[in-house]
Amino acid sequence: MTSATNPFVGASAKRVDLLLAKLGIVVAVLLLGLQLFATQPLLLVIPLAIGTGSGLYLLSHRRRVVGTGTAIFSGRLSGYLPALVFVGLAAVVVTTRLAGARTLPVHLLTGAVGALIIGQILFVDEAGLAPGAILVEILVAAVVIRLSVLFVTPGFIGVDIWTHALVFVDGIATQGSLEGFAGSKYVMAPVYHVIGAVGAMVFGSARMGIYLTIGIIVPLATVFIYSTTKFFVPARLALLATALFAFADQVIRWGLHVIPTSLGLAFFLGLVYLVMRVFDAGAERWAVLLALGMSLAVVFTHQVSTAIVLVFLGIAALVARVVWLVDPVDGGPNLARTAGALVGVFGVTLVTTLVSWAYTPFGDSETFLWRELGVLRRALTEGTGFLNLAGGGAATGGGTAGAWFVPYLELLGFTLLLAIAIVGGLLLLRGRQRLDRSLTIVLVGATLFCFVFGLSLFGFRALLPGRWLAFLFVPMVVLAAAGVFHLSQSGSRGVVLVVLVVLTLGYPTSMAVAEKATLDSPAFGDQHTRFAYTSLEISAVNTISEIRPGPTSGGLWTDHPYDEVFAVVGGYEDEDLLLGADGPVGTDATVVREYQSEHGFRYELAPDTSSLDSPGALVCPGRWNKVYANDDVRYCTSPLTEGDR
Amino acid sequence: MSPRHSDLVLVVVLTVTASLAILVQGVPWQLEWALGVPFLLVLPGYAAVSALFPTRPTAEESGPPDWPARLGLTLLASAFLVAAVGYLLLRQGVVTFSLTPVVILLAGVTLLGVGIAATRRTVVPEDRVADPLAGASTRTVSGAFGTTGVQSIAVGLSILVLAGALGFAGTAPASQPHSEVYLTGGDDVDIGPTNGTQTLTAGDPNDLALAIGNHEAEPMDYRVVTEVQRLNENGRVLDRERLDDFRVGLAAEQTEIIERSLEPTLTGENLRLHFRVFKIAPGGTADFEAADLTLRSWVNVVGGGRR
Repeated sequence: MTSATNPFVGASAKRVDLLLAKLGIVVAVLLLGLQLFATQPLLLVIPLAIGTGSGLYLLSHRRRVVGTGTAIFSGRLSGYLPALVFVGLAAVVVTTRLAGARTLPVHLLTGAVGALIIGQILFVDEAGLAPGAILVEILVAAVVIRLSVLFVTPGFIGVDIWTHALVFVDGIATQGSLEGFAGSKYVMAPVYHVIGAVGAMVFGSARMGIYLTIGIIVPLATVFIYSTTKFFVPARLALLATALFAFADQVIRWGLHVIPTSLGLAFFLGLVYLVMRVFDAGAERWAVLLALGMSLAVVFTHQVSTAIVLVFLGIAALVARVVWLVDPVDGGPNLARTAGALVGVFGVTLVTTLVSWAYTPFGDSETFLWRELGVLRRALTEGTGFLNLAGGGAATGGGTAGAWFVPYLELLGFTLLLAIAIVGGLLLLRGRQRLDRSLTIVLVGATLFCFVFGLSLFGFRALLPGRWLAFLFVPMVVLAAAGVFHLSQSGSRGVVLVVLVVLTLGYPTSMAVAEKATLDSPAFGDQHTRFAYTSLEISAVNTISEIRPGPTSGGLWTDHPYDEVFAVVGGYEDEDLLLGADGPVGTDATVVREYQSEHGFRYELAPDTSSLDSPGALVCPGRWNKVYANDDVRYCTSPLTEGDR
Repeated sequence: MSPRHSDLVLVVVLTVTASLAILVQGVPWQLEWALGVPFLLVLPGYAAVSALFPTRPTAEESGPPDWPARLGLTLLASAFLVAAVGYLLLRQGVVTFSLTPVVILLAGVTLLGVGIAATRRTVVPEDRVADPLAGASTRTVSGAFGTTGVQSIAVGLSILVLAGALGFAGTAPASQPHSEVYLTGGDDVDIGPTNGTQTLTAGDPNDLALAIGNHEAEPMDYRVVTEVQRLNENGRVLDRERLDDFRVGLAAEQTEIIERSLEPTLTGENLRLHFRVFKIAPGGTADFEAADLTLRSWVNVVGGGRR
């Protein structure tokens, strides 16, 4: 990368950035000490990332290097790289198709494609860099990686989508009304389902209706990352942020499990761009109105996304107001108007949210607003405590040698991103130009980070922190781009090259094999649950639901998440499995699939049973009837009638 | 065609073509989908964005959004308009929420946007009109990719390879080949298999129904062998009686409910009715040693038969 006038170097007597960097080192050391009290990979990787990022910044902040040349590929070679990316994507598609599912080689190939793209961004010289082409590569890769999986996988990937698609979307499309929503919280958040229903009518099924509308919008909305990041760094690094986002595991997750969260994320991307535009150009009317429209679209799409939007808008409005009052010189143009506009957007969104939630039904007699306030109150008073971390939740299947390493491999990409984002955040706090915009993105990143990880440290998970992670990646990739910019301008060439090579190879590979990016076919299948089903498993659900419907037969037991599919398709009540020496206790029907023997399942010991040697053989014991079988799944019923038990 | 409006003309043509493809019967689904995706995701939003921003992006801080942002706004605006049209039809009580009114209304909104965009462009200097197709050529595309000569050919070929791969992926079978068998209460498949332990009468015909579903993607023959067995405590078979042995041929995706009548002579309590199902592929021979699928049902056989 060549040099450019560094807009982030400002003359200020108060080096907040240095203070925070030093504080970051201290915090990292203290957090590392938590390892003595709890075993959780994040308690290692987060302090490491914070410490590394802070240390890198402290080492490089004094250097005045006129650019650090990192170009390796000349224009002649780089001209073939786009072709290599497309061929790589074709290989991903073909191998997935031939195998019928993604395998470890496919995941690694996906990571290789990501490395190729990031490598083009970081190591091609200026003459050979074509931002338009790379942006096209990123967007095509994002769509192909997700849609190839969606189309090859039977049914749906994930848990919630079965309800969204088969109950709500299909209900709207076939009944032509919103009656299927009645009593559901989605009656006040219907955007996802209405789009899916329109798609279902055009493409013939709820599955295609969702995949060919929202399934395409979500990966393509990544383009907003490019436009947003360009407000902070040159185009090359805006491309880096875009690629980092497109290959992030949590972002891929919502491209595979396509539910209202996914659409909420897409609208959020648009909103972030528009708010940064408002800061940048001084509250142009179209930007303000579109930002308001985007916010309201989120309110009527997904409640958790709305909470995140309110946090974002609240911070933006507060920063605009404070900067206008305290330091207007370092803010953007028309700062008073910008502050007023953002306060207005936040205010309207907040009021709309409160009114909407006050009328959103949730449960038998409550509304969403009061129910959530109650949940928050209970979570704060009953479930919290320092280091009250989420349980591991393992199934009965045993681990393999080297299993301890898997979480760290999966978190490598996030660790790299966090470390470089720390550098970028410190850089933005150092500069005095466009303080409003810079401070907003830093505070949004820090706040979302605290919501996701900080509150979880105390066992507070009522806000569903797992849903916030993908949104956290938005400010993180912007900050990471700024961090790479700083390192390229100020770091020694050797250090910078090492960092960039590690980022290029480590980030996409780690993300490609991570749990949340491989819901359909985990790269480490003995560690993580598969949230997709074979056509045999789905066929069994359909047939069993037809021959012995749940509403007339009561419940049945099978492993999670397979039980969720039975609940949605067949209306079965989910029953817990108690196993005694002779077989299941307390249930008269079980469904056994091969996956249970490969990956284990949860069960409780029946009273008077101390241990079991082969629990897998007892789920459908020889003394039970086996009344349904296909090449994978069996449905077994108790030989005792109700009166005999 | 005015150089100001080549993109808008294309939008109009695609909107009308897509509307017809979706509404007219007999159109191949591949064409319907290829046109349906842009009809829902691109055209309405593009018309809206073009109406909002008739001038092309510039390097200035203020002004219309850049091309990538316009792409993003096009997608989200399309999503918003599709949702708005759909919700409007769902809430009003005059017109049914169905395919035809949705398509017509959405096409109308798109064409309205095109009209507004065309009108607003009339006051914009020709070289500032936001028409991405203006001046487009293979040379500009190659320039955008930063490739020349052989490199451009390589990119073009690789895109064709990717398109071919996607087409190949589209040939994926809907389901893995498999068969399924289950006990039913008879023709009325809503009556599921019975629970508990059933009672059969020795020497008398006992009716039973077995369903077989062929999802092997080809015709398949099935042989079903039914036995009643007496087992000891350890599950070892002490005595057995073959009750039935029949074959049935099923076409691909055919499910047949087969009613049979069993007349056991072996009597006793907690006997096992054991069904072994063998698949026989067309032109193939079956290995009758190991059954492909098995079912079992515990029964009490009463009456004057042998113990």
